[in-house]
Amino acid sequence: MKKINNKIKNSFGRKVFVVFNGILLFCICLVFIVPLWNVLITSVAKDQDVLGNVYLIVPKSFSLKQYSRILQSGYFKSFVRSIIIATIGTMFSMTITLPAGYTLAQKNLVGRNLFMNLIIITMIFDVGLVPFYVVVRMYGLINTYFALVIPVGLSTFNLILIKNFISSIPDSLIESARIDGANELIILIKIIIPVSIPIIAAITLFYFIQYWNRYIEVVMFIHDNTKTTLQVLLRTLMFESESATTGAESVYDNFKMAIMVMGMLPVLVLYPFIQRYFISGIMLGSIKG
Amino acid sequence: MRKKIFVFLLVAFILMFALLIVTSARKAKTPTISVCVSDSWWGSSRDPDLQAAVIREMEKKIGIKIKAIIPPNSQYKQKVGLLLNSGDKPDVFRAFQAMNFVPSYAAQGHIIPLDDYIKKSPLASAVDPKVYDYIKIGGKTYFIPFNKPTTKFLWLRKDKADKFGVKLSSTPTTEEFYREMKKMTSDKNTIPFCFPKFIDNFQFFYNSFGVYANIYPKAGKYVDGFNTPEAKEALLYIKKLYDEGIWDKVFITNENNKMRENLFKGIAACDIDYYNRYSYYIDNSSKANAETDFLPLYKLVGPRGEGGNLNEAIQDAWVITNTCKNPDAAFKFIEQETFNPQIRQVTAIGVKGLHYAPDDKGYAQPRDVAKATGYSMNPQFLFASFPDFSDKGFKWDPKILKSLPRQIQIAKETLNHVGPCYAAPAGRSDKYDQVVLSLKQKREETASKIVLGSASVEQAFSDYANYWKSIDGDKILVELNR
Repeated sequence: MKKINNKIKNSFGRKVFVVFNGILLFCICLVFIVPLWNVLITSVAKDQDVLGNVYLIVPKSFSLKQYSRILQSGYFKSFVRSIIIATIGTMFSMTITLPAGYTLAQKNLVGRNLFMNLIIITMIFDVGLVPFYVVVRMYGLINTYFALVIPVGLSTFNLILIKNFISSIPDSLIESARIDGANELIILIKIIIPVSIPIIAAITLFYFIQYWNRYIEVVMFIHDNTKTTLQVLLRTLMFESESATTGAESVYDNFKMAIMVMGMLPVLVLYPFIQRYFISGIMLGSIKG
Repeated sequence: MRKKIFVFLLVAFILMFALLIVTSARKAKTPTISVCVSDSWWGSSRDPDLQAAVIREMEKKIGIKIKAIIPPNSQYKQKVGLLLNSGDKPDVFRAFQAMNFVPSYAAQGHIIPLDDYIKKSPLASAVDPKVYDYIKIGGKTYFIPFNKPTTKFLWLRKDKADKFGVKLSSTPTTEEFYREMKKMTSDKNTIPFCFPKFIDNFQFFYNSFGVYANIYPKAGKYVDGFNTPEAKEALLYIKKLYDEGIWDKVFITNENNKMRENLFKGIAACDIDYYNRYSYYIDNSSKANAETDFLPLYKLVGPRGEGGNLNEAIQDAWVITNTCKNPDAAFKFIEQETFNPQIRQVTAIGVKGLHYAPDDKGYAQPRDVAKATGYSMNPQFLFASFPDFSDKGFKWDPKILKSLPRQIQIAKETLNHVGPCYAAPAGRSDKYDQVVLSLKQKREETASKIVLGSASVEQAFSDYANYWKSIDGDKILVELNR
């Protein structure tokens, strides 16, 4: 029996294209990999190897001293606080964003456009920090963890993404549930949420990263530094030698890089598991306006 | 029997009641004040537990309960601004850049005058009155200086000077400085002169040309000291240093710590820094395997024989807000922190046994937990603070001890070269109070444009003159001179 040749015949031009394409993609990869590699190997280098304006590509030494220093500086306490705030904050945000998105997706909602416009206005106009602080203070939230969750609980951007996604779900699906006697809460829980997993995963990650990286609100709303989060601690360590009057210990690049690694570690661990939802969720949410 | 039980219960009740009254009376006697200072201050360690230990020690020694507000150093000014403008004012706070901000806070009514408290306090009134004269608003004093008046000048690495044959006295002329530093430009691996991004440090060079780049009193009348031929001459001198590779090409992005690192690592040969940094540079250059001596250049003598160090006068100051319910307690806190050596020592280098502990030879060494958050046992506070620290209760490390005599000598010598310094004349002209910060920004923008070459001297000053007209600068001067 004659063998069927499945190979695509490669012309010379195609071969050249493949080689150049490979080189180009490799270079693009390097642009992203080299800085990360540099951060990693600088963080484990000894002090004498990072003195001067050096940019390490090849590891010269290995020491975990900088990581040990970070762990001694109250890292774990701040880390736990950040995890708790980010987790509770994300749950709180999702709890209000999903029903809000579902409500705004209802085509027969009275004043839907008005509500949407009022929500969109908050994306365009920022009230500024002082009025924001005054409101948070009026509710007695200053110097409490609630100040880091409640006032920033709803992201307009995320709300719009969810609302758009829910709007794209066929009406027939919801109608049939209504005919079966389901109320709005049942529809949300049993119909909308199961079919919205990609967008929910993406928005959950968005919220988690927002809470995780939150800095200015922590600095402004929290007075007591036993309550600050990891990002504040890491930035403080990074800039500790900046004080003009105390003459604090100088911070070398290896310490700064170790701080970066420790700061991005949790998100770096989390991201690969939900990245497939991350892209698809955003694409889905952006289909219908 | 019942009667006995009743009597017993009655006595127990009375005793408990009395105890409760005594306890609450004691509590009531201990006043509480809220204090806002950045995290670099509370014992010089960022560790919350160590900071809490410092607060406890202060409470014990001063007899005041302290409610601490501790923002990060890098966000401190923003946080203070937010607290003041939102009405959630702390009782006491440390005002950074006091020469600019204390007049501004006073003009806005955020802080109260302290003249009566100073008069009553033997410690505060013993300070040289000239110190208080640096910032008078409507003839009143609104602050207690955090430290003695402070100055900056140039620090030159001796190894670099020797390598390139740079021969400079401690008070060279501007021409000598240019000529000698030029020798280093041949080496591509050395930044001859490293400078931070803070343009207000240009004043060190302005001093050499008789310029005070601000509105200041000249012969009894307020004038704009920036738009003058001498200021243009000074800026052209800086530009020459910049264009010819003496001045750091990337200075506009340099944080202070970057500049310091460049100097003690030997990347730069010279920088501008505080008078009490000698021990710091000696210590850090040793740690960076680039040990050398550091030579002070107190001033550059200009073409007309003028010059002086950069006089920052009152860099930071304690102030009491107008919403403080117990100003007596607030002043007591400030007075004790500033003038009591035992308390200043605690706030400067922490608590013995927690922040530092003696080693086998009895020399005080920082503990690992403190070091992890940037703590180092630094003798700078000895020179900067008001009190005399004759009884410290510990022995310095021999390395620090070795550098102390030279540091003491430098601290004395810099007083012979003090440059001019005038506080912003706040509270006299509403218009001026409104534009004071934007005017400062405009001056710095003009200066940096000239040095970086994005505008000629004529263009930049023409732009400045237009701005001056737009804010009705001449009217401001009239109001200030009224």
